[in-house]
Amino acid sequence: MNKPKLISIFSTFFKVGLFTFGGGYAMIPIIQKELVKGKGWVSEEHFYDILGVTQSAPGAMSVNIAVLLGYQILGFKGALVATLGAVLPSFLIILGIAVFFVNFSENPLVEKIFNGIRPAVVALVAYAGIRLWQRTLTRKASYFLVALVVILNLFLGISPVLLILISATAGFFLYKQKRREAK
Amino acid sequence: MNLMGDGLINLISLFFSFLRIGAFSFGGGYAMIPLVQEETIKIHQWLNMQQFVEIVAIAEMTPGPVAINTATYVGYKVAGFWGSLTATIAVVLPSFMIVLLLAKLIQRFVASSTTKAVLLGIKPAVVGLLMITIFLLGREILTDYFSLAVGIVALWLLLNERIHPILILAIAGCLGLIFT
Repeated sequence: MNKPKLISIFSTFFKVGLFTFGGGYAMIPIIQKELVKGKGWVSEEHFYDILGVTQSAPGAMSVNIAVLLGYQILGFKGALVATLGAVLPSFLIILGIAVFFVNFSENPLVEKIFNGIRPAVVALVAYAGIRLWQRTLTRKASYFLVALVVILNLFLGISPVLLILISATAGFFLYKQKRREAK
Repeated sequence: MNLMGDGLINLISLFFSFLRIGAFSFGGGYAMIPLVQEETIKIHQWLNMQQFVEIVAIAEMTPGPVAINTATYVGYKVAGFWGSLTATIAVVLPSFMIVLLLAKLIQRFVASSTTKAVLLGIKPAVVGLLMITIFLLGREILTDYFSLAVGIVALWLLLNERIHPILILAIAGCLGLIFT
């Protein structure tokens, strides 16, 4: 394998960024096809290790994958270029839409279309919520934590950031402790 | 009016808001929505709920993660091109630095029981926050029979027919054009 050039890392991630609709998990097969099978920059096995890390770090998964793969391929420069490539397509497209939309959101035709789209978006978010619920809530204590978070935020107004920190701490004591007992 | 000063203050608050979103949103995709909502509607009033939902729709129909799309859009709305650049960089920066750090200790980090325990704790919080967001969105958007019908049918289609989200948004847009 030849050492990949920065420009080809950039163009590969630009392509991935351009064709990833729906974000996150939708991009995994595209990245796999481009980088693992196509370019052979990363081995299949290593790719799955990388997915594990990107899922445990905060932020958009596509960016996390770009940073990590870019770093694996060509160090810090690789990470920088890959991230730039992955983010640039959506940045340019949204910038274009924003410029357009600031002028056209008052248009009655656009307003009518969004009257239909808005409730569908609520359904999309609800669907994502249901899927996340099914995927992640596998332990009894999880339901208790969900209820606790809902109560603390809705009735006591505790901020999401603080709740994430609290639940991370709760997870540490709850599950770290259990593992020790099991041994 | 001190335009220079206001502009700079806007850029600074954009930067820190989206830095927080980037640093504390776990799970990717729509799991990031509660934090975006907290920062852009509740804390800063850059958007109202209707506009927020419209951005989510635009984010769904265009490539790229919801958080980045929102950053670019809100940034532009608040402070033009420099606003969009600032917000986009800010939302990417935490992942960039954290993931880079993790890249050096990949195996140890993933296998670590501390990481697993912490993430097990965070997951229910993400689900809980998302449930609240869904409730708030529904209360604000599904206020008439048309919206309620579109929302319920769309959710049913997503759950049972696995129709692509973009197709659902396109159909819903046409229905809006015809019936509202």
